[in-house]
Amino acid sequence: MTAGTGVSAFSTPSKELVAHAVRELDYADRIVVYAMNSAVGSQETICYSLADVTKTLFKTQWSNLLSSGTKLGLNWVRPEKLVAWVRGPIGDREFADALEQALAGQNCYRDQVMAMEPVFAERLQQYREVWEADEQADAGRGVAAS
Amino acid sequence: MATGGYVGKILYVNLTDKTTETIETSKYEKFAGGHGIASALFFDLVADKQIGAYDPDNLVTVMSSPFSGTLTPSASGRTEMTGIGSYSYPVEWYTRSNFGGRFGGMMKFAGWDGICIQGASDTPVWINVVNDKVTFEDASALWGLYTDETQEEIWKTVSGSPDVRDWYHLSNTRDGGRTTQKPAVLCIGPAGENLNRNATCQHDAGNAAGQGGFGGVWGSKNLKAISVIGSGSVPIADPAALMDLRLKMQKESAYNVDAPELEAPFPGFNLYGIMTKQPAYGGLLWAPNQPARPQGCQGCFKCCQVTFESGIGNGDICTESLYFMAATDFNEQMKAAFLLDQVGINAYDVFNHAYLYGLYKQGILGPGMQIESNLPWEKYGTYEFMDAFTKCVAEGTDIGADLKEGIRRATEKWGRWDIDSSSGALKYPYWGYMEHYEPRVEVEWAYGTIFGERDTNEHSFNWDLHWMPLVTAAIGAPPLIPAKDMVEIWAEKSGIGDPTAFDYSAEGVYSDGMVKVTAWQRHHTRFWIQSLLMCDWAWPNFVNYTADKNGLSPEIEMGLYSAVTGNPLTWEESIQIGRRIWNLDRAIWVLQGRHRDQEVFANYVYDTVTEAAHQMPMLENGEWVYGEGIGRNIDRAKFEDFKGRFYAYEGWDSSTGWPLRATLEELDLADVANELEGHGLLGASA
Repeated sequence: MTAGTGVSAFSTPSKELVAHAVRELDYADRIVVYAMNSAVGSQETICYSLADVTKTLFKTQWSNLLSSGTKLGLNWVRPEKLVAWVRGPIGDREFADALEQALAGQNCYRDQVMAMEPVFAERLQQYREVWEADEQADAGRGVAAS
Repeated sequence: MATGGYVGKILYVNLTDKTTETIETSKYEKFAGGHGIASALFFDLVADKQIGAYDPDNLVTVMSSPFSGTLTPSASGRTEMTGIGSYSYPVEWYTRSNFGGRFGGMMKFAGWDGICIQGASDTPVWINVVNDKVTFEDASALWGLYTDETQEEIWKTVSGSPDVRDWYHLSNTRDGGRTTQKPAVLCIGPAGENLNRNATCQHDAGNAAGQGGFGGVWGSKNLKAISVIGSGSVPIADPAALMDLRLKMQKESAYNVDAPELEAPFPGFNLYGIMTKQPAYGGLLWAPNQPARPQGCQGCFKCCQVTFESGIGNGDICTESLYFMAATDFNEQMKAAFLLDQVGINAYDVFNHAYLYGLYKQGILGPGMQIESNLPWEKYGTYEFMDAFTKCVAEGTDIGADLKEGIRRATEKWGRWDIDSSSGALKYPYWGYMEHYEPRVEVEWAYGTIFGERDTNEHSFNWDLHWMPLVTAAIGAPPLIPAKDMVEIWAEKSGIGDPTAFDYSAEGVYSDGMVKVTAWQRHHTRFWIQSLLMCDWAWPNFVNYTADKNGLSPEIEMGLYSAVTGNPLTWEESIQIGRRIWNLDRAIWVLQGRHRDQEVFANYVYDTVTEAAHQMPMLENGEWVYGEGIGRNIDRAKFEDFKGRFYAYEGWDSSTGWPLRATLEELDLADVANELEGHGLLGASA
């Protein structure tokens, strides 16, 4: 996949992979994103899922950083650590490889985050499609949700 | 003696027998104002400095400064509180806090430079100050009310209605004074009434004396609120000079509405806002989802706060606005901040909800667990949880019964402190206060705190030396001011002289230069920030990003001081007065039991390394850079060595940290030296 182009080279994940990747993690598998704010310094935002990371990491509004106030600040994680987390506890090697590829050649943190964001969006959209397709198939087979 | 700035008298209140006395301010002018005068009052009026925070003899002082209620820019609206605080651990140190708004100015309009309170009432009271008239009012009907409700009730009682926008006559006589202003009220909420160690005193919307635990101290005195209203004014020695300097500051430093491009030095990226502080840059305007307008403290042209149409979250610019960072609905984030204001809890102490959720995830905390809690932990991350959590701390229910004592004491009781403060899962590095800025890199903050008594919470270095390089590095832009130029500006303007003092490299943080930087900040802030009550988000103005890099400080401070008080003052003299106040505080802590051995950080500061980038100026291979400081810890032995050199530089005994007689006498504190000697606590040798 080429970051930011919307052209995916991802293979379709299995429903087992999706279920594994989107689960809430145990404490030991958490990842910390640092919320850097003028009022309170760098505070740890502890993320227990891909959803937590997505919500935290990509809400930085770069065009308005700081100017709009302390809430926005800068949400920071070392990209290599994030890639390792996706490869490890999340368990999606293909996703991790794509992130690694997107990060190559990016020279500053803003560019790194902006390069990762479409990769996240692409893969999470695939997860969603697989999940919904599986739910529809279950419904067609008359499987009751548990 | 000053001809302006002071209104001349301080109100002494004895809550036990409901009497008042007047203290002449002139007696304490050598301590400048604010914190300095408050410390001197404490020293004189509290015979036994080893009493606890909730002892009736504890003296709580609410002080203005010579600048309060004047047009001194970004220096008119803050008010200082002091006394023995209940929050710090292991000792309830004599401490301070301050808050924005208009209380100090209104207190002076009523004719009082400060109010100090001793004793305890046997029933709930509030103090009503209307110019010279002071009365004790029954607070039974206010007990249990939120802080916003309390203020509205007092506004109604004092001036008839919180909604009337009309002249209010302060007496029945023709010349008794009148005003269109509401009374300025400082009050506690349910947390203070419940003697929480993390309780605040709140004023207007979003202004809180948060750190220290003064809300609980007021609760122990059965004091719900103080209301002040006055129709007087503050004498200014040279009003024209003051106005000229204000306009100069505004012209050269404030947001320039006619040149908004200054807000965006890089295409598509705004940076200057936080530095030039355009009105309403503050905490909750990140996504204005409703009509809002800038709001400022009294006399400030920067107006960093915001007032919203909803009335929820007004003025919540600081830490409380980030209490519910996980919110996806901004209205709920504002609501959570507002709830903290209402119950009167210090956000810094309850930021720990994320840590507590970690204990829940580990199966340590929850229903039937080692730490019993029946809060809806499964709904963590929702407003429903935040509401339940906040109220349980305020009311002392569920785990709130422990958390009302502060997270430091709660984790000690649960047997978690040693484990979690060593691993860094719980980052409360000094005296039970939350980590604010990275103590292993931005060391002057950490050193100043451990040699003091609370999180210093002073952003003076922080904008120029940390945030500017952090943000520019993050977006891949060159720093607005290179590291070499930055340290030279700071060295020259501060008076420290040597740029290498600002070397935050792995070795630089233990240097003799850093000793000077740490001491300079303690002295500078004790005078200008805590006694003259200049806002640390604006002062000192050493760097100007919109002009030739040279800010207006330090010259403008001396001009402002002279214009207001009529007294000339040099920069060196101001730092020396700050040193006097700092040493007076040090003596009080020594009388409370302070010893060198106590001045150590939590284990994680020594035993774990930094993971996040924390840009600061560093000398690397002879070149100045803004380094990231990743992989840092504080070395125990090197810090102990630093500590000894810091003591020697301050004129304290290097083995105990106790001030020497010669130091105190040089600072015109011979009486303090005598008291220390009487207790066998005078330093022996440097």
